[in-house]
Amino acid sequence: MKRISPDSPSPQSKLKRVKEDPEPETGGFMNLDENLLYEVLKHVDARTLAMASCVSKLWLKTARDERLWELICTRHWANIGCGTQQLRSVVLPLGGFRRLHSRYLWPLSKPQAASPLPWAPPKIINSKPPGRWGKDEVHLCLSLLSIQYYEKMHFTSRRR
Amino acid sequence: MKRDHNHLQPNPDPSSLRGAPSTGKAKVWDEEAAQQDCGMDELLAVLGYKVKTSDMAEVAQKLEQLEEVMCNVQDDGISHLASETVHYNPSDLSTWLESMLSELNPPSTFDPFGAAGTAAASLDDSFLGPAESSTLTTLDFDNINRKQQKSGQQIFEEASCSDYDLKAIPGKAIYSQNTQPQPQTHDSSASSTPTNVKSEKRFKSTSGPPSPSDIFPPPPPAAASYGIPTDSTRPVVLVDSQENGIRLVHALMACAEAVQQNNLNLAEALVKQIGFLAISQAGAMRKVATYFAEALARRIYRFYPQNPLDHSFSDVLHMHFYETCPYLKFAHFTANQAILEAFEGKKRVHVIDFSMNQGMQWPALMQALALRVGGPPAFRLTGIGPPSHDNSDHLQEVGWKLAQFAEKIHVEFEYRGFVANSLADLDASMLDLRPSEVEAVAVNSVFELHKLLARPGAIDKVFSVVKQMKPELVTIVEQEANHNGPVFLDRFTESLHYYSTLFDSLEGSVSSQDKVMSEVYLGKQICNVVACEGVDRIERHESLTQWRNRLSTAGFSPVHLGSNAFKQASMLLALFAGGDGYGVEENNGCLMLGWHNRPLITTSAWKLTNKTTAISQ
Repeated sequence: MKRISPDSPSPQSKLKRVKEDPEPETGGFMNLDENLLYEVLKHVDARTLAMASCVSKLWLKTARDERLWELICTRHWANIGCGTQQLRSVVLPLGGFRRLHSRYLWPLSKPQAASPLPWAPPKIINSKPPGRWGKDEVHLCLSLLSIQYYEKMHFTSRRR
Repeated sequence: MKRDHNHLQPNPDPSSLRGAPSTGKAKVWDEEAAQQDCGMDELLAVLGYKVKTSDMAEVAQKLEQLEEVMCNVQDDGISHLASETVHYNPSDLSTWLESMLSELNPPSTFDPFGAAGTAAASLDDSFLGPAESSTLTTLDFDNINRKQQKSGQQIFEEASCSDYDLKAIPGKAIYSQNTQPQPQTHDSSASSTPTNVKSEKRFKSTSGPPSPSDIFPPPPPAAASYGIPTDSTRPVVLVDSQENGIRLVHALMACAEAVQQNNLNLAEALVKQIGFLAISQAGAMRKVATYFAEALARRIYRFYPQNPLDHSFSDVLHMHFYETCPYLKFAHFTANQAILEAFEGKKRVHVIDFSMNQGMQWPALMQALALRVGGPPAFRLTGIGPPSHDNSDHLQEVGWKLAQFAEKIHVEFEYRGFVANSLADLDASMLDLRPSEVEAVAVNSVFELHKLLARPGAIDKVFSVVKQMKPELVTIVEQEANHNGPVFLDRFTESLHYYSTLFDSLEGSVSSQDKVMSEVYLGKQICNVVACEGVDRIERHESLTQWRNRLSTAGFSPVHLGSNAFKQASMLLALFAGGDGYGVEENNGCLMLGWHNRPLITTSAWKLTNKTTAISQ
C-alpha cells in the first residue's frame, strides 16, 4: 500500500495521521469505506482526484466515479443553460466527464506556452484563473469529445 | 597563366553593360593571383586566401572567366551581389569563384530564361516561405567543375538560335553521365543543375517524390558525346538553398509562361530543371515545387490524371487532412455555430449537406442541439455525395453511423442519402421537403460550390434549387483564393502562392503519415488547377469577394457569424499542435482562417433576401 505524501493538498487531517501509523493494512484511514471516501473526494480538486486513483484498487474505483468528475467539470464552468440530467445524458454516452476533463478541459486551461499571435485578438483563456471554463470553452470541449467518439465508432467498425 | 578560353563568350547577344559593381574586386584578385606565379599556396594563404597548389591554374582561369562574365552580365543578374558584403566565404578562393560563376552564368547566358526572369523579377521572396534560409557553404572543388562549365558554355554556343532543343539548357552542367564516379538516383544526365556539384549529394541522399522522374522522358544521348572525363570524387557539403529557391521560383514561373505561350519545347526543358531544383530544396518548398512540376509536366505532355478516384482512397486522404490541420475542423465548427443559432427555437430541423464525405461535421452539431435549452429538436439530415465505384453504398453507411450516434445522445434522427454526380443534378422535389413552418432547413456546403463553376449555368441552377428549399441559413466554406482567372499564368501564380502557404502550415504537424496524406490530398488539387482545363478543371476556387457578388446577385444576403463562432475558432486553434502560425480573422461577418496573415479558407453564412419570392425562382 502506498503512503500518502504529507504535502498532498487534501485538506483532510486524517491523511496526516496515516504517516504515523505503521500498519497500513489495518490503519484507520485504509478502512475508510467507499462511501466515506467518496464523500471526501467530492471536495478535492482535479489533480488530487487523479492522484488519488493511483493509491489502491479501492481508491481507483472510487476516484473514477463519473459523478466526482462531473463535479470537477461543472464546478467551475459557466452555466451552459442545460439541466444536469440533460448534460449527463449527453456526456456519459460519449465518454464521460473524466475523459472530457482530461482530454479537453484540462489542456485548454493549461497556461499557453505558444507565443501570442501577431494579428489575432488576444486569447481569452489566460485571463481566467486555472480551472475556470467559459461557455465557449465548454462547448468546444464537448464538440471535440463528440467528434472523437464518432471517429472511434466510425472507424473501428469500418475495419471489418 | 593560360588564356585558352577565347570561346568563352558567355553572352551571345549584346546586353546592356550596366556597371558591374564587383569588377573592381575581381581585378584586384586577378592581380594577386598573377603575382603568385610560383604556384604555391602558402603565399596566398598569408594573404588570407586558401588555394590548393594543384588548383592554382584553375583558380586563375576562373578569375579570368569571372572578369569576363562580370563585364557582360545583365543588370538583374548581378545587382544582388553588390548589395551583400560577404556572399560566400571568399577566403576559399576557388569555391568563391565557382559560386560567383555559377550565379552569374544562368541569367547572362540564357536569353529566354532571362526574359522570363525579368517577368518574374517582381516576385517577392514570399514564395520561399519562412522555412528557407540561406546557408554559407564551403566546398572542395576539383577539375571537373571548370570543365563542365566549359562544356555548358560550349553547348550554348552551338545552339544559340531560338529554336533549340534540350541540350541548350541554361547555364551549367550538361555533363556526361558515363564517367560519374558516384551512383546517382536520377539517371537523366542531360538535366541541368545550377550548381552541379552541390546538387550531386542531394541526388544521393534524397529519394525525392517519384512522380516527376517517372514522367520526365529520358535524356537525349547527345550529351554523352562530350565524354569529359570525370575522374575525381566530389565531396559535397550543403546547398545554398535560398539561392536555389529563388531560381526554383523563377523556373516555375518561366515554365508556366512558356506553357501559356504554348512554347512547349521551352516548357519541357524548364520543367526538368524545376525537378532538379526542387530536390535541392528542403521542406515545404520542395514538396510544393514537386507537385507543381508534376502538374506542369502533365499539362505539357497531355498526360491528364484519371479523374474518377477510388472513393475509399479519397476518403482516407480526406480524413488525414481533417486530422492534420485545422482547416476542416474550423470549417465545421464555424458553420455549426451559425446553424445552431439559426435553429434556435425550432422544433424540427433539417440539414442538407452538399459535402457529406464521412459526416464528420454532424456529431458536434447533434451534441450541441442535444444540450440546448429545452432539449433537442428532431434532427433530419440529407447527405449528398458522389457515386462510389465499388458498389458500396457509402452514404448509407455514414448515415447508419450518424444514426447510432444520435441514438446514444437521445436525439431523434432521420437520414437520407443522395448520390449525384454533380450538385446541379439535384432538384428540390427529390428532397421531400416539408413545409417551412414545420421544419427549418439549413444548407451546408464545404469546399463543394467551386466545382460547379466548371460548367456554365450549373452554379445558377444550384442556387435556384437552394432557394426552393427555403432555407433559414446557407453556410458556405470555400478556399480564399482566385484560381479561376481566365489567364493560365495568373492562375498558376496565385495557386503557387496559395499552396506554398498551405504546405507551410502543414510542416508543423506531428504525425508524418498524416502529413504525407494531406500533402497528397492537396497535391491532387494542385494537379487539377494546373493541368486540367474545361469541365475537368473542377478546383475553380474563387475569393470571398467573388462569392459575395455571386450570392447577392443570386438573391442571398449575408448573415454575420457571431462572436461565439469567432471565440470557439480561436480556441480550437490554440488547442491545435503547432498552432502558432494560424489565425482567425473576421471580415464583414465572415470568418477566415489563415496562416501567418494569409487567409486560406473562409466561412460565410447567407439567408434568402426575400423569402416570399423564393418559389418563383
